[in-house]
Amino acid sequence: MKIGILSFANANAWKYARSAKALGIELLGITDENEERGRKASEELGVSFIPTKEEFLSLPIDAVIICSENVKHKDDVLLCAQAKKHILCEMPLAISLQDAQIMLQHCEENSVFLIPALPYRYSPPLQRTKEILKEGQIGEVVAMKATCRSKLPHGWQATRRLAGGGAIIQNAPLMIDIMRWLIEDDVAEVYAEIARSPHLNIDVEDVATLSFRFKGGVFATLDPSWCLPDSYPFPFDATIDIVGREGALIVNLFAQLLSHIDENTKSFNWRYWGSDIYLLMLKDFSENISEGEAALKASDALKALQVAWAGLLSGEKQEPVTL
Amino acid sequence: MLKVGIIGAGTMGKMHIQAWADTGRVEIAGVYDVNRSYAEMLASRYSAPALDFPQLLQKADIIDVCTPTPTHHQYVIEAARAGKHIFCEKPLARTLEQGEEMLREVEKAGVKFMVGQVLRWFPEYRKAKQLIEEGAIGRPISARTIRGGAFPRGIADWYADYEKSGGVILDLIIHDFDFLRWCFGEVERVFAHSLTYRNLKHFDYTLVTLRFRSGVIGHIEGIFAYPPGSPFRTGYEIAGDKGMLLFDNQATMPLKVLTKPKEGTAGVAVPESPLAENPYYLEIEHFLTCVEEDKEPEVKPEDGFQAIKIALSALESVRVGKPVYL
Repeated sequence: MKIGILSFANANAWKYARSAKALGIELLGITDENEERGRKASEELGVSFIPTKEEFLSLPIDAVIICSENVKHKDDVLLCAQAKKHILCEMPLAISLQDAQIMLQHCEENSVFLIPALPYRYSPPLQRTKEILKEGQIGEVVAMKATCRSKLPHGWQATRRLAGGGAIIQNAPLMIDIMRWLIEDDVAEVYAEIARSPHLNIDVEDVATLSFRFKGGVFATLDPSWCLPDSYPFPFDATIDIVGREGALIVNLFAQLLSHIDENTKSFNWRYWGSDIYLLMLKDFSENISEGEAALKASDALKALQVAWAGLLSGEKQEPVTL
Repeated sequence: MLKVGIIGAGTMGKMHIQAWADTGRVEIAGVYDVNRSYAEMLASRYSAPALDFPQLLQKADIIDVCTPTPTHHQYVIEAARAGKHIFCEKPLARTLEQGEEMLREVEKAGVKFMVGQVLRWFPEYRKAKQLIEEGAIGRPISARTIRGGAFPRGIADWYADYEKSGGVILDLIIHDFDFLRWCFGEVERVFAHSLTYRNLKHFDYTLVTLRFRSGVIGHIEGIFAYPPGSPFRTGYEIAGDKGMLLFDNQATMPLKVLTKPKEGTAGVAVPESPLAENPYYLEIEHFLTCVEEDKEPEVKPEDGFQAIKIALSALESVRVGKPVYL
């Protein structure tokens, strides 16, 4: 399989580039509207930099990984679809329902897959969690409590103009998707408390707590805040506790860590040694696309996004929002 | 397709046969065990026959030895003489003399040979080695490791016979000996306290100090002494002049499963640490690739030998109460 990476605005692009190398997937080219950023990546990775998207899309590639700023996902997806390239697109897939629907329609018309990046589905601890739930080991699930917090992003991700929203839009969807996937149910109602910390001088939300009621009656909360301090030993967290009638599951996706105390930088960091979920996702993407299938579905990403958007609305109205 | 013969249908035999099957690149030629019914039970799950050892030698291209330690010697030597590639569970052998003879025979036969020092495929250990090499802690100074839990139960309770198993020093912390030697090079001397020679029933515990030629001091705790059902602990603290690496398996379990007590029992919390690929699969797959592509395995015969040399020197130190030079 041959791929290209469109933009390094989202730093996950580096994970895809390294995973591609490890998997023997050919990365034929990189393009980026920010030429300096693109050239830097191209030099470090030893991959050609292609100045324009048109030239980039004329490369003999099967698929494009889109890592541009969130608001550009729509136009980039439409371009790639027209060029008949399959797409793996970073989350959030789109910044509005209307945009998402246009994107899905275009991809369908051009017979290309639009695959959202939902790497948590490949987490071995979560796959095991799903298996345990299926076996009924903890009985009927009644409630879930999750976090997917991160440090405050510096740069475009903290601007409404380029990111389309803050912590809720950017952090929450991956974990909302996991909650839906684990209990195989849809969110019926969302309530959200949202805050924008005044001292940060940003125009998007940085702190939030979302409360969900699922159709089947399960209730849950999710904290997607950008509240981890800069000196926190890891860039993000992802946890989910699940309470069932016959037992409970306590899951920490990124617990497989070792501590590194670094005297040179006077810092304390956790180094992850668990399985590489981006590599597993890219492997699945390449294998499925070659066989004309898709494991991850844009419709799932869209459902998670709709819950996140409902959360934003609830925060404004200070009332529960029904989906 | 290469054919693999498994010798020994115990815990490790079960683990290995599954790993071989998971590669999808070999045929299971058969299973041999001194207790034929164990061999039949295991082999039938893989649609393979239970065979006698001579039959297995005839049919297989690769022999995987998963038997109690003192018997490795005879199987490895016969397999080498028959020109088979050999994967041998750790520890290499019960005595240095056995180990030396095995290495000689393997070399003479020119076959691939690897000892299952599987810690090298555990990502938490691999990552530490990588970080040390990248200079994350500067110059290494000291390394402390922990390994163990309850006393293991094997077929015919063979672990409890220290003449056979070598106790916690030869059977368990051989892993840490190999890992530390992989990171820090050759060991100069070893000093150890241990319960091993007291021959306590189902109870062994040791504290071993190593001095490496590089100057690094190693401290290894080996535990076969916790109550039955206790968690199996692994961990390390590796210090250098510019930093430190810390790992505790009990504190880094991503999944804890709490279930209701069954009739008459207490409820249990079972921690798990799932990975996409298990280390036993990775070591077997690595060895298979080396056989297929005629490459030298990452664990050299000498590495397996040096690991038992450290362990047997530790046992000697326990006996004489003095440091033992390698």
